[in-house]
Amino acid sequence: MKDTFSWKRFGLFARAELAGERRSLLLKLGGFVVFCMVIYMLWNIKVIFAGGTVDAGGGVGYVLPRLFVAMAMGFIVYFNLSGSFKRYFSKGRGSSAFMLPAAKSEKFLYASLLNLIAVPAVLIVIALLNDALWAKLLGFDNICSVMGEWWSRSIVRINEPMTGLFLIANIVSTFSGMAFFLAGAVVFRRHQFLLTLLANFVLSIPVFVYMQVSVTTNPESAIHLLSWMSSDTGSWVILGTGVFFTLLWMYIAWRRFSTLQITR
Amino acid sequence: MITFKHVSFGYRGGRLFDDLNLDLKRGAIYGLLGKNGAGKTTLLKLMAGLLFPKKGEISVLNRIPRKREPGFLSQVFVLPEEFDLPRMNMDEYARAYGGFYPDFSREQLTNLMRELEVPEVQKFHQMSFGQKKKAYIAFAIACNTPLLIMDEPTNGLDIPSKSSFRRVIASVANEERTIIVSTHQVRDLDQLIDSVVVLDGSEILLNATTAEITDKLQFVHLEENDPALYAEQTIHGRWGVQVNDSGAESPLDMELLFNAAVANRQAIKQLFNR
Repeated sequence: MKDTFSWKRFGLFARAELAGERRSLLLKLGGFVVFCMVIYMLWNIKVIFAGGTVDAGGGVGYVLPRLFVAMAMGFIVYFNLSGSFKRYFSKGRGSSAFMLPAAKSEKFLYASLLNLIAVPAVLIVIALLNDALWAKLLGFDNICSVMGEWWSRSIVRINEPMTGLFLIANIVSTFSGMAFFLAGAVVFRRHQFLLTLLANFVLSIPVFVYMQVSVTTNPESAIHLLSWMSSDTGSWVILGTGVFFTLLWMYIAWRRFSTLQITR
Repeated sequence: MITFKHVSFGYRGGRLFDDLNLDLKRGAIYGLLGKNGAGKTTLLKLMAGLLFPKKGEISVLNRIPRKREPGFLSQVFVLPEEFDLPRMNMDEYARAYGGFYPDFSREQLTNLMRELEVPEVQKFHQMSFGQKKKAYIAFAIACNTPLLIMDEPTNGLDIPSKSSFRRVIASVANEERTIIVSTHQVRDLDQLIDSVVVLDGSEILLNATTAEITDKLQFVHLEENDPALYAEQTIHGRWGVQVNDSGAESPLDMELLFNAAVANRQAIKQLFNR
């Protein structure tokens, strides 16, 4: 049997793991679908049952549900990432998970792809479809068309703070945050979500302190920093930092995973 | 086949094994005996690469377990004492996981499930612990790995199931396959194993075949003042273990052997390391 990475075995492994995880994944995604439907319905109960316009109150009927859905999506994504390697720490499932004849790289890639890419992508698709459905039912502009309009505006007006580069830099930064939770999922043996949140908080203390000191002592420099961050140079720096930290967290996760032992 | 050379290992609390040496041969059924907390499970985990030694070398099937290479993992099956199975039935489980083992036999699995009286269509989460254990034992055997490691496999099995387990293990044993069964219930291994490893006080007290043991020791009924390595009073009189100077054969009593090894460490070590 080949000891290095094999795509064929990776496929077999992914199929087996998905078959085992089917129920918990469907519960998570199904729960999110129900949440999305209910939250849009709750904020538009008056419009649905008594009539009226959805744009009343500055579009609160679709702005707030989008905010709640985004928050729920963020929570599920990060919570799910924290459980990426849960089975390897489980007393009942650890042995069989480690002893399954697949390469460590295949097991790691599966956990990373599922929790960093697949689950967030499916959640985004669910949120977008739900928004499109309610937009169609209640007659407001769905999030895709709103974002498309905003995107074309930001691309055309290159001098505006929101350039395409700035957007990509921020997406990569978000991804590095997700990779941090993936690393936390394997670095901590228990309470992965809470401990990663705590680690995140501790690591961001210097930034908080710096920002507070600079704002209180020299507000001009803080404003200068913020405008620099939205400039092209700043965006490149954010992008580079995001890529660096994504790779760093992934490397830490991999190193830890490849030397993990069952001590319980 | 399995070699431990000067292996040291310990958890955070302290050192469990220090300079441990062990050599297990291919094609035998080993009974790994030891008291609670003696380190049986740790020893099995070191063999499987689930734990890494602090010092020394471990070689299993000419590979280094800690690397956890697929080629190694496909030759070893570990049946842990505690386990969870996914919400599937055995057919779904075999289709999902059987493909990872080159010699996995679906037909053999069906026969073993029948022998152990476990319904194949029932979902694992609807089974009792004993049924789940028997199902997992059947799958472990059907994978036909050259090394099968079982940690307390008879825990949770009822009396008929323990007999079925012994029968099944005896039927699949062959020269290409090594089976290691760890237990503290020594009676469960009677008439099953052909080699015994006794682990106590973080060291290997005894590693010998049953033939060597019965060649060197006698398990006999003793008179009141007969000398013995170990003796105990039962309702059938005084029974014990003596050095076999006469060359007479006696049936191996695992419980007496274990108690003798623990109670008279130096004598047993000297006798078998001669």
